[in-house]
Amino acid sequence: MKIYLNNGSTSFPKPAEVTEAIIEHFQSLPGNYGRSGIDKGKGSIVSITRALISDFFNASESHNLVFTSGSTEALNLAILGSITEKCHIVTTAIEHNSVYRPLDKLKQDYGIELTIVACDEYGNVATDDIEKAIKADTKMLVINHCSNITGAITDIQTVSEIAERHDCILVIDGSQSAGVIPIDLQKINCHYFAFTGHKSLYGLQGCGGLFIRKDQNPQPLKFGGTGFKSDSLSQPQEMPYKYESGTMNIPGIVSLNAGIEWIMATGIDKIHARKVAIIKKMVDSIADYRGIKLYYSSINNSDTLLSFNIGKLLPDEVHYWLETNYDIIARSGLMCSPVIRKYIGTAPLGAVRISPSFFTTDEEVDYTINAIKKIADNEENLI
Amino acid sequence: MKVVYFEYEEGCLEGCNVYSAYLDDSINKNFIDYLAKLGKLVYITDMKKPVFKVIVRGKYTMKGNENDDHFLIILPEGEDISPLLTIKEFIASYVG
Repeated sequence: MKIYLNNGSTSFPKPAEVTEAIIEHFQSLPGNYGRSGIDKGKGSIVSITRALISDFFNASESHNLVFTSGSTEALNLAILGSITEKCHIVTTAIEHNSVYRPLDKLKQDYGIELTIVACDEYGNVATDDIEKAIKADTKMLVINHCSNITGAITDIQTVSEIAERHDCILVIDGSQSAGVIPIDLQKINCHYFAFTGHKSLYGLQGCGGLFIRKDQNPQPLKFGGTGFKSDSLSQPQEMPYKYESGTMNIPGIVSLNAGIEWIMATGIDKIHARKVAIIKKMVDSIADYRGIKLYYSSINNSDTLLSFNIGKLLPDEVHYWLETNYDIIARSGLMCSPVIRKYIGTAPLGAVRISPSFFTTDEEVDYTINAIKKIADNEENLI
Repeated sequence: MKVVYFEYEEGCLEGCNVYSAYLDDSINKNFIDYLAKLGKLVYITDMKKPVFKVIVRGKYTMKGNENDDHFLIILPEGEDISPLLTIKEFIASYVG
């Protein structure tokens, strides 16, 4: 039996309610959003889920929700759809390549100037530093809410006030925070909030969304059939059709619906508290153990993941022994976040990351702690 | 013993030239000692399963776990995968 501790990548197991909803979906007549009348009268699952997610993030009065394939597509839409000329953009050292790469595309296309604000050794980004990086021609701030390497949380409430003060478009990447901590979009009031469905919202891979503040009007990245105004050869301008061309990922949306219902029924605080307890136990158990270096601070942290290295062992090496010798599935390397390593001391090869689930048992935690210690005991021989 | 197939390990950062060798039988101590003829053996017994590492200096490293049917081969960076053939032929000569 494998122990899955890679929930920072994608969550497993999903709640039983999610599995049941997907099975039921596949055993029912297929509704195709906007293209069939099968689910008329009871409200389409797309509309129901859109409303549910909007309520979950308290966004119903402030933002429109567009379904996407995940955070990457959502961030691409926010970034590439909003910037169509040379300008200055501010981002941070804790971003994922789903941010850096579209920004690099803007560099190539328009010659934008990019400032990457540094973080400290734990991945914390000071909001003062973000504000200091803003220039007269800064048009956008792209900010990660929660680091996928250290769990550091950026104060996006303050960043949103900075963005308003300087009239900048604010894009928040909520990949690692959505479903982990409560998020109130009416308070944060960012222009864009991107999230993925398959991590802490317990949906399938390939679903997610972008909240677009109602005063924003990005260019769509894809065009085509929407099941709406089909007599027109032009892309509809109405929300959400403008951004939802093509057959929608209905199984993904069904899973998102069930995942969020499960979170709301269980309690986001209760789910989070379980992960925090696990991380705290792991930190207390291995922080001072021979050769182990944690990239963690309890201050401003989601406490849902823990990155570390062991002595001179390469992170991939530790990952290999965890997986092949102890049947523990973790993650190692740069984890698509290449800039942070320079600041937290994991250059060039990154770290090993443990990210438990609400469902991770105490026995699995103890077993993992012992496995990590055993690898540390044998560090010199394993090099 | 036979190598059934080699599988390129994508995204492996230890080196960009890493392969898994899948065998038609599981690895035991005799087989590990046989591989050790190619280089320097590190054998660790106090992990969950005994662990081996055979370092062929300047050429490649093999590592894995006793009782598994596969092990890892880390080649130097570059496109040269000729050691895989050498390893395959060497393993083909093993009689357990």
